[in-house]
Amino acid sequence: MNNTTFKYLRPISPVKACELKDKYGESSRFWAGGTDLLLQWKEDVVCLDYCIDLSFIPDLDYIRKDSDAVSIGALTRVASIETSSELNHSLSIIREAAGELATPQIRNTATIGGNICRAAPSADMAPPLLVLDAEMKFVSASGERWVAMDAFFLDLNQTALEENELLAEIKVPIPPVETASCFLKIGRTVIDIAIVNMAARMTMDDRGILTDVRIAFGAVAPTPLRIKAAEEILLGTDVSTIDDTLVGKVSNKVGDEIKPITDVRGTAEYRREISRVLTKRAIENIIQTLQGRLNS
Amino acid sequence: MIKLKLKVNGNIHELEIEPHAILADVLKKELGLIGVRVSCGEGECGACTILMDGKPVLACMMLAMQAEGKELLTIEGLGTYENLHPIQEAFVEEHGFQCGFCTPGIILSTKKLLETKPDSTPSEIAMSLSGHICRCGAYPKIIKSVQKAAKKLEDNHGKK
Ligand SMILES: Cc1cc2nc3c(=O)[nH]c(=O)nc-3n(C[C@H](O)[C@H](O)[C@H](O)COP(=O)(O)OP(=O)(O)OC[C@H]3O[C@@H](n4cnc5c(N)ncnc54)[C@H](O)[C@@H]3O)c2cc1C
Repeated sequence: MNNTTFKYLRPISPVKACELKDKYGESSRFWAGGTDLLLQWKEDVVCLDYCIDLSFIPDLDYIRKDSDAVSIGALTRVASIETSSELNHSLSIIREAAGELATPQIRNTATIGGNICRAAPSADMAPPLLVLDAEMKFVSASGERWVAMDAFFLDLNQTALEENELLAEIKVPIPPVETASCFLKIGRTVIDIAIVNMAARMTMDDRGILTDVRIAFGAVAPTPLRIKAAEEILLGTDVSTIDDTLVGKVSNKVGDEIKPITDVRGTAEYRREISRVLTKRAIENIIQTLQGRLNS
Repeated sequence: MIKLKLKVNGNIHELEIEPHAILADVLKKELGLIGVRVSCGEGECGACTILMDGKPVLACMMLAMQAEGKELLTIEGLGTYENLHPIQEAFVEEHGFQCGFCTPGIILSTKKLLETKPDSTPSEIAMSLSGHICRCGAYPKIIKSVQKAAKKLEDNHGKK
């Protein structure tokens, strides 16, 4: 148990926050909702001499929609995402994942940025953002850059963010109309972190050929990740011809590609089996939607 | 030590606290609001739930500094012993508790729920209270209490 104190800093802009990070380096941390960081600090997992509280920076808490994308400020509370009407159609999986993250009280404090930046393998916001090809805006004292969600997670609890960078925004492109998506989470109880979570998204052309396939999993590897070898099996197929054999092939591929571990929530074998099952459910759900659209 | 201006139950308090002080500790120890219950201290059980700008949050999971400029409501600000809030009345009448440790938090979450969706079904009530653990297992009576509270508030036309 940690008994030491820290200096509390309250920057009023993202750049000011990054300047503080430049100054204090690894002994400082950005504090968003604090629902992860507080426990890590109490348990002495992280070094925290300077707490840089981001919650008083205006303009990092928003959900904006324009013609081709929905932009979400990094400090947006998970509860605001859960109820946002901007996140509809195939983007509604972001809302669903938010609604299954922790408890209502935690969702009122936790931020989407904190969920992603913590880079836990089980982060519920990760699979939907991965399959929707989200782009992340990093800000530092000297400028900004964009990084694809697919290149964001590097290793267990490690992201592409440099020590002095802050995640400012998550931009989610609006997929073409002929897209369907699905988010699934298996947990011990409705409020627990995932044993396995996953999302899938598929887009077809006007003849029903799959032109884009994304499948992403959490809690089955050191980071949330896309299972590209499984995506490739479906790419280019005709949605009206997808049968049990093909679905079985894809789900077995997922089982082969993931590297689950055994922990208190489940064994590696259980996670592998559940991942196969969730793959089937997600594909069937999506294909049914897409076939329905082709026939209507 | 660091200065903090905190607005709780309509009153403004000017405090000097440790920068790392947890909100629940400040409410209990500095302000004597012992209706803020701390049980697990890790965000799992919901006993420390208070309303911040009308929304349920866990006072054990945030720094007191994070609450500056917000309106906080603890159970002490909801009703008094002589003049209970309709939700409190409903919990008494329906025996929506046994030991009562989790009750302040549950009542505050109920307040928000009934403001948002007064006609919640039992399963919606259960989902919205999923962040509260009642170790006495009073859940069925808690749900009845919430339904009765909804009725009381409706009869009052939301006077309280
Ligand atoms: C009881 C309980 C249940 C939980 N259940 C779930 C669950 O079901 N699913 C789930 O996914 N998570 C769960 N969590 C974990 C946690 O609540 C979420 O990950 C939450 O979204 C973290 O957000 P935060 O704003 O509180 O992050 P913080 O704790 O403030 O930050 C987390 C990390 O990210 C960094 N960071 C935050 N924002 C930024 C930024 N903008 N730029 C750069 N770095 C940043 C911080 O420095 C820190 O290292 C649970 C936690 C608890 C306590």
